Amino acid sequence: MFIHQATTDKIVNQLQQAAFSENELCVLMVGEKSEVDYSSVSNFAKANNIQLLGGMFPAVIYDTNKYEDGAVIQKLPKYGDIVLVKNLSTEPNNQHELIKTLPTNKHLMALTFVDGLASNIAGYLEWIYGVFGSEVNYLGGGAGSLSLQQQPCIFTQDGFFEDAAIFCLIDAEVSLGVKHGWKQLLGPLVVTKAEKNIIYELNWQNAFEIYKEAVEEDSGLQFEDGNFFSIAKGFPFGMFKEGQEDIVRDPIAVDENGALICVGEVPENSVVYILKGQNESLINSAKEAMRTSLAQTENSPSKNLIIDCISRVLFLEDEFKKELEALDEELKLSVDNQPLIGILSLGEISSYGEGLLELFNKTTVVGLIDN
Amino acid sequence: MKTGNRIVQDISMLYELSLSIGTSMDLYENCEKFFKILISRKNLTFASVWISSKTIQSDGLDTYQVLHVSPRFRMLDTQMEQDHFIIQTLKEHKAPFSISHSNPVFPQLIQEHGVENKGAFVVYPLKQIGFLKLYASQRQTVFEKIEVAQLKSVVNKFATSIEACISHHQLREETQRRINIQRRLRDNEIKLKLIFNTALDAVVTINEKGIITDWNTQAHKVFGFSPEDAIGQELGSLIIPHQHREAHTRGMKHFLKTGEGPVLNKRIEITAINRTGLEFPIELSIVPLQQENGYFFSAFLRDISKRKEAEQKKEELLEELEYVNGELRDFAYIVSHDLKAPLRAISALSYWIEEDYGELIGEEGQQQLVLLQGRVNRMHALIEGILEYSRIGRIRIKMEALDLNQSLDDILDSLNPPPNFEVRRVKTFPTINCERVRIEQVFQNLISNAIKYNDKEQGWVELDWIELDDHFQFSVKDNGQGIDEKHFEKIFQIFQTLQAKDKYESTGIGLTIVKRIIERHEGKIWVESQPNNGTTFAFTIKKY
Repeated sequence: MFIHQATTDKIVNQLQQAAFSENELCVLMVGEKSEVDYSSVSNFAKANNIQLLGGMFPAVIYDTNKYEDGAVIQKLPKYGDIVLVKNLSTEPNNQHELIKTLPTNKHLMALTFVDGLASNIAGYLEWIYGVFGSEVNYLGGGAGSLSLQQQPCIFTQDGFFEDAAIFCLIDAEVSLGVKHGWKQLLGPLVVTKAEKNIIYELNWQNAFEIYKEAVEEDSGLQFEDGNFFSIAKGFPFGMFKEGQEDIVRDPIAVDENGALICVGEVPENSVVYILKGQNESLINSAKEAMRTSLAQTENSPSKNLIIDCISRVLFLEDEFKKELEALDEELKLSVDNQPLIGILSLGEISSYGEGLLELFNKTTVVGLIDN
Repeated sequence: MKTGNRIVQDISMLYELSLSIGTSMDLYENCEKFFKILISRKNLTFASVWISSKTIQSDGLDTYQVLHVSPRFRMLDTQMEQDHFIIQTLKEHKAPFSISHSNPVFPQLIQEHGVENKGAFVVYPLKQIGFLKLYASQRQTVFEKIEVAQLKSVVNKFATSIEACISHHQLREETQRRINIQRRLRDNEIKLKLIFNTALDAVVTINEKGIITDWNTQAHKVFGFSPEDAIGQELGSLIIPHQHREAHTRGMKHFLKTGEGPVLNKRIEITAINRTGLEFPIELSIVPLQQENGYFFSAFLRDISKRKEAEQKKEELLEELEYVNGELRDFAYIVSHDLKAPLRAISALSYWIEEDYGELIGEEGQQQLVLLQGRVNRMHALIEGILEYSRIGRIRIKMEALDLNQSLDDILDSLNPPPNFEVRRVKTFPTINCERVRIEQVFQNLISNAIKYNDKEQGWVELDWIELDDHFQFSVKDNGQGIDEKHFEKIFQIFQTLQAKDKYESTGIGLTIVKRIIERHEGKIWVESQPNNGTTFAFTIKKY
């Protein structure tokens, strides 16, 4: 379901018409420029017994377009209840009772939205992975505003929350494709001082000074007050992962001391590369993600959920539509009449098959759902 | 041959892995940090550390146990026996080895959830303490030799860090254990000090040389010396009176030589001197205690001056009381005895007047003489009663067995109740140890009262008894005129009668004597009655 220029009334009307049963989950993804009173939506869901897994994102994807003021809804069969984790930055391992016994006769999917600007997302993902491991496939993304100011962005039938994460098991099998297309430009650089998502030092020197020198030399651009992200969006960090693409960490801001603030954790002493993207390789990687996902499907998927990084939009700018078209074209080769539905997120969540659950940046994650 | 870029990548990874080791002395944190980087960079499915049980506990079993697993949901088996394939292979080769799913022994390595017939394991020995087991599900073949070799040094460093963590943990536990013991000791010391200083007795300890080592608050109060004044002083010269000092010194020497001390471990009464030189009585107990470096003696002292004074006063009072009681008894006896002589004279004179001058004084005069003789008889009975009463307190008759059945028969014979009067016993009476004559006196008095004051045409008295724990309880019940409750106390008081003495001949002493006899037998007497509804006298007598 797609809602153009979403408002509270339009969303409430759609929720009414959709008639959710008690075993169905309403996944509501809303563009940050929509005119939506999230508390009213939560109250409506609560009053009508709708299980709501929602997030506010920089934009939503429908068909081959992105909408900053639109909303999309996916109705999915749920398994168990929604788990809400508050105070993510300080208490990622809240003592929540998660389902301990999973069915043996089917494969479930875990869908999660997190506050993309929270500082301890890795701890939260480790916790979930520690409980369910590779028995389920994971899909999700970071919610929040492109202004990069932390604010409430996660909602359920119980309210609208900042610095939180929500999680629900879906009674459906998902095939995943994860690619980003960014290539190593410079490195290696040693992260000699870091804490969670903030890099203080690279190669034992001020992080921004090292980064600035490398990026300015390659790009020919100059960092000035207020233009950090407009340049940095094209030069993310990559962390080595054997047999896979580097895991991307997006520097989104620099503080007054020259520390680089990233989306997602960068471990101290990790070795990173500065990556560089090219429009073609990024668009091709999105297509590759869709191919990888389709290759794993046994049946024709009934639904899709695209988690694409907002920084790809910022990098590709007008050519971003080509990325969506590439995804759409690839999907249409196998599936008829299924528009793309998804989000442009602050960080993407998925697992490479059986590997560790990771938070990605600048990455396209394709989830094809078979239920 | 690897490319330069690949070599840089490998070095970078090894650098990151090396630095992730030993970042914490906490075993969990140390493993977790290393595993996080290792699994992420090497794209592994899981990693686990196994440690010999003997490494953790010297008396542990001859097995291996899981120390850390990541991710933890993979953990299935947590213990491995010595004969396991992995242990045997490591013992044999003492080097890392990798086995992929195509190797027939692959299933023997599976101890985790979700490992099927795919991927590859690599196992590294961790020095002599255990091994590191890694698994990558996406690998089609074994870990390459060069890859295994690359990690070897890092893993050795990891093994050292594990050893350090375990030692650190054991050291912390031992330190904590010692801290806890010290804390308990300190608490106990504080507690003992509190008890010592709040004791109501003076507590003093001395060493083998008789030097004071402890002196509590009460000792300060009793002797007037503060702890600062007393500690370090020789006990003998400080508080022991001159006449006892030699005995004290001799006693100490004797004990240290023989281990014997007649005044030790018991309470004795002796005297001590205080700061002003005043000698006063104390109660003293001395306990010898042995330590590694010899004996010390703990003395508990109590100032008993006031108690002694009180005892002295009590003694004096008792003596005085005894004297006064004796005087009283003698007075009653002498007075009664001396009064009887003139009474006898009056009685004899009245008889002589009646005999010699009966006709002269006429009928009216004779009636007056009869009245006079009656009053004389009553006076005689009264004096006999007082004599008897004084005898009860004065003369103790020996205890002897008394068959009450026989006694009651005799009493009833002597009382000779009128024909319209029945005296019955509910059951057979016991034989009791008592002052025989006195107890018979009790029954005789109560039964005769019941007969005497009965106003019914068919009168009766019912005698009964029950046995209590320490007493026998008897009752004498009648169907007579009854007694108002307000007289219940009065009837036991001396010279008190409820009826005019002319109506019933009575001295008013009988029940007073009864009460006294019963009290001498450590019993009680009471009455239950309502006017016109009969009376029950009940009393108890101690079993002797």
